Amino acid sequence: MRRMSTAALLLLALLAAIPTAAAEPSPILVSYSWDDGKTETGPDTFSVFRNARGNVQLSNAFRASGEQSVELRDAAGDHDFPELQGYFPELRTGWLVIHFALLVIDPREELNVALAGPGWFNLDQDGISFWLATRDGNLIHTTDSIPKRLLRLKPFTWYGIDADYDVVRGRYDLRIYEEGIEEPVVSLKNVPNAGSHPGSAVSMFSFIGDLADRSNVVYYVDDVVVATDRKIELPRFIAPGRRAYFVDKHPAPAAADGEPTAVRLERQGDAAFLVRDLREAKRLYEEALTTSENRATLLLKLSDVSFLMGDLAAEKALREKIFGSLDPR
Amino acid sequence: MTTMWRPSWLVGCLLLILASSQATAAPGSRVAELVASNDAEALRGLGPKALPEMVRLYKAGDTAQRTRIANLFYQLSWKSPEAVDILIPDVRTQDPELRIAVQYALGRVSDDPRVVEALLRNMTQDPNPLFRDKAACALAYDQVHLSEAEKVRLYEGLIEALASEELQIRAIAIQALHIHTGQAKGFLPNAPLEMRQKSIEQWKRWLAEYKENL
Repeated sequence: MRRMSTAALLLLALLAAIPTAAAEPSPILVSYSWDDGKTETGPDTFSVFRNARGNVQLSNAFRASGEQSVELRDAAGDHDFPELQGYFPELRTGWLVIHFALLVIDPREELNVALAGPGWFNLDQDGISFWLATRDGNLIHTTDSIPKRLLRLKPFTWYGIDADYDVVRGRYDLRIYEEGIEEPVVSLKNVPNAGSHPGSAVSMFSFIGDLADRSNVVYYVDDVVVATDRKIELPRFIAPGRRAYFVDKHPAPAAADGEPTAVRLERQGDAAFLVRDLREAKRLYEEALTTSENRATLLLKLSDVSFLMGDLAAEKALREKIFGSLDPR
Repeated sequence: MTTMWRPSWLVGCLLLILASSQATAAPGSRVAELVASNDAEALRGLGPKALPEMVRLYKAGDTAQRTRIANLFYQLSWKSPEAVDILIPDVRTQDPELRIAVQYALGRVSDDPRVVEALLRNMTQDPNPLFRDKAACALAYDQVHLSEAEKVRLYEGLIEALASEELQIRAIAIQALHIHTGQAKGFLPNAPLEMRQKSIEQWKRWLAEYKENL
């Protein structure tokens, strides 16, 4: 953006205060400028879904800051939608500060941005708390289950979106800044969340095209920041995109009569992994993969093995089979 | 700075010719074959050009054939005024399978106001509680082509149904409202009348605000 808003400047100051060591407490839960090489997908960062003919990738075509942003492209009639879906520790109390920058090519094409909790992307308790979308050229938000118009979007213009969300009260303040204008073009206070649910938990954000499969939207997202009102000690990243090994998060089930061979092999692979017999773990996981119905977990455990064996290319390829990639196609 | 790919005029013309050739109807025998085998995916592959033959087969079909085609309309979810015209007369049939298939299919093929009216009528007036329940399901999940403005009548009807003297109608109405909005606004179908009325007032205020924002 050519001119930074006051809120954006405050946010930058906050970001500048982020401790360098990831293990130190920080109010920042999520921060993606896409310029610092932090583009590893995973369960503790974000997933990229390039479904059907849609796409999500890094782009230097437009950016609010730095050199890159993320481009999302949807394709009407392809029975799916592209998605950038990010994760942070679940919050049920306190305040959440959300910031991101958005630029659309054609405002008439639909897009949706949501902040949601463990109830997933619906209007129920613990579902969507904050929901922005475009309809017929307007930017709208859904509050108290009612879609309300915020502004007429201009094409090729960066908008900075700042929301301060009071999780317990289920209400937010919203400010929207338009590129080149100092004062917010939208400023709302004390707005009920999307489904009017006080205490609705939040743990993820999502940028998509549309659900009705009618959108050919192309849009850009930059400077995504999610922060809270207190410092939270997050575990350090143990490997790209994850703060725990997949084997620790998803251990094979305990032994049971009549269990499939693949489950037994996976459990033996877990045991080998835990004593860092990586070659044996790799062999067992690969053998389990030949008959397993749970391929995703096995691929991710093999990604752990590759990481510890120092094969970073294999680690990336395996992890990205499940969580996707921002690399240009 | 990347540039968006745009087809040249030549490519554009070729695409137009291809599109128009594909818009012609699919061979009737092929559609009949796929309908008989209940093959929604293959019909989807043919595209909406399969619709005229499906409509013709529905008109000529017996109850089983009509039920099968209504279920296929539901799965395909293609907007089609012709499909509405042939389905609507069966929305009050006493055959349970055909009735339910038609109730579910209608919202998947159209945003015609007759659909919401017919389903609201079935939900609130049909003597059979099963048909009432399934009409509410259709209103909750299957009105996929309605715009936000077109949903007003649906919400109005559901909110009116909260005042029904019939417990089941109140229960399915609030379920449908909850599915659309994620909220109940404190409405409990078996609560005392006074409490229910307070909640209905909240729903009416909500609807007024919804309309103001269209």
